[in-house]
Formats: sequence, structure tokens, C-alpha cells
Amino acid sequence: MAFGHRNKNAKGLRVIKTARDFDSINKAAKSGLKPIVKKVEPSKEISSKYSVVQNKKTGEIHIAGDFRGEYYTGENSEFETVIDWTFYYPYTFKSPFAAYLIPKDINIGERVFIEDLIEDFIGASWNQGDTYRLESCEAIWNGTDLEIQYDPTINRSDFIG
Amino acid sequence: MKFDPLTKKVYTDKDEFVKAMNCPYKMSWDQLEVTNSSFRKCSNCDHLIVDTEGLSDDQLLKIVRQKPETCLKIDLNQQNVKIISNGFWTQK
Repeated sequence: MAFGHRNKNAKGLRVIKTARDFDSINKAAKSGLKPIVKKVEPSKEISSKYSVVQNKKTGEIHIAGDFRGEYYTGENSEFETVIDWTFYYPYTFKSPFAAYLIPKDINIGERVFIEDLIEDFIGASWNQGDTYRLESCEAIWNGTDLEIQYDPTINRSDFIG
Repeated sequence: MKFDPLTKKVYTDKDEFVKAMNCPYKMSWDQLEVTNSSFRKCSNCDHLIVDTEGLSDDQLLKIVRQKPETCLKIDLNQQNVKIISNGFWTQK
């Protein structure tokens, strides 16, 4: 994995970092960055599903996430479904707030690249109903906040990497 | 092939780890340069990106082991992939 290139993006835009806890927000503020603090609010539009089956003899469980994988069921199966298909919000975060860290020299109208979005937008969806968060997005600084340039057409079903 | 969209980790059907997908440039399939093969090319990092649709687990492992920097394209709807959710359950 090319983690060494994480600060780059295809258009060469300036990267805006996100701080996701109390300490990192204050550390950034002390270093001269301006934290724009926001609530971390799960969107009802983001959800993933699971089902749990349990081995009748051993008690061990298996988790399924794909309708196509129902190889556990059947009359003579060793497994029984203990939790049927259930949708849930599949992400967890360090704290219920986070902040975009704005450099002092940013210009009004400047287009930037947010590496770690705080807001929930749909980035990928699957024909079985699951939807996944968009991780990164371009934004424009308007002087007080970042205007997220979300384009719903980037809602895809494929992953690259 | 198994894929966890939360951790972006790819496994074979026998749970053998293949790779963790990561594109720092957040490229999409349409942005990649079409070649004469099932691969596409990324202008940012010169990596080849292989479409995994139609690949067997053995073919996939061979490609990634020969060139670990090879990137993959996985579509959630393709026939040869099962979606798993293990990432959520193993988060601490």
C-alpha cells in the first residue's frame, strides 16, 4: 500500500486534514491551524447488513454480509440463524465531534481536498441495499467553512486500490 | 474471492489474505487509462489496476504475489465476490 502518498490527490489540491479527538484538535490549534469543529452525525442513508448463524453443536457463530453466501441454511445444516438480516450503521469514530484543520494562508474560494470527511455522504452502494461512506471529497473554502463539493454521480459500486 | 468494504481487505474464498486496497488518489475506474489487456493504468502512480471480475482466486493470488503493487478493481455486484463485514466486528 502506498501510504507514503496519502497527502496527494489527483488534481494536486491542497489537502485538509481532519482531527478526530480533543487532544489532536487542540494540538493542531496550538500549531497555528484553525479547527472548524463539527458534530459527527451518522446518516440514516448509510447502512450495512449482517446476519448471524450459530453452530448447533459448538455454539460458534458465523457472520454473513451477502445474501449470496447463505450456505449455512438448509434442512440438514449444522447452523441455525440466530439474528436474521439486520441493517446497521457500520462505522465507529473516536469521538462525537471532529474538526477540519484550516491553514492560515488558505484563500477564499480555494478548492481543497478533504482527506477524511466528517459528514456522511454516500460513496458506494450495492444492489443488496448496503451503502458506504465517501471517505474523501473536494471542497471550497468560503471564508468561514468548507463547502463540500459532493457529486452524487460518484456513488459507485466499485472499489479501486 | 471475499471483500470487506469497510476495511477494504480482500481474501480468497478460503480466507487467505490477498491485499488491503488503498488508493491515495481516490481514482475511479473511468479515470484510468485503458490498455489492450484487462488491466488499466493509473497516470498518478504508474501502477496497473486489474479488473477482478472473472478472475479465479488462484489467478488473483498469482497476480498480487508477482507484483504486490498491483491495484485491484472490485465491483460489489460482480459474480465472483462475496461481501463480508468482518471489519466492523473486529474494531476495537
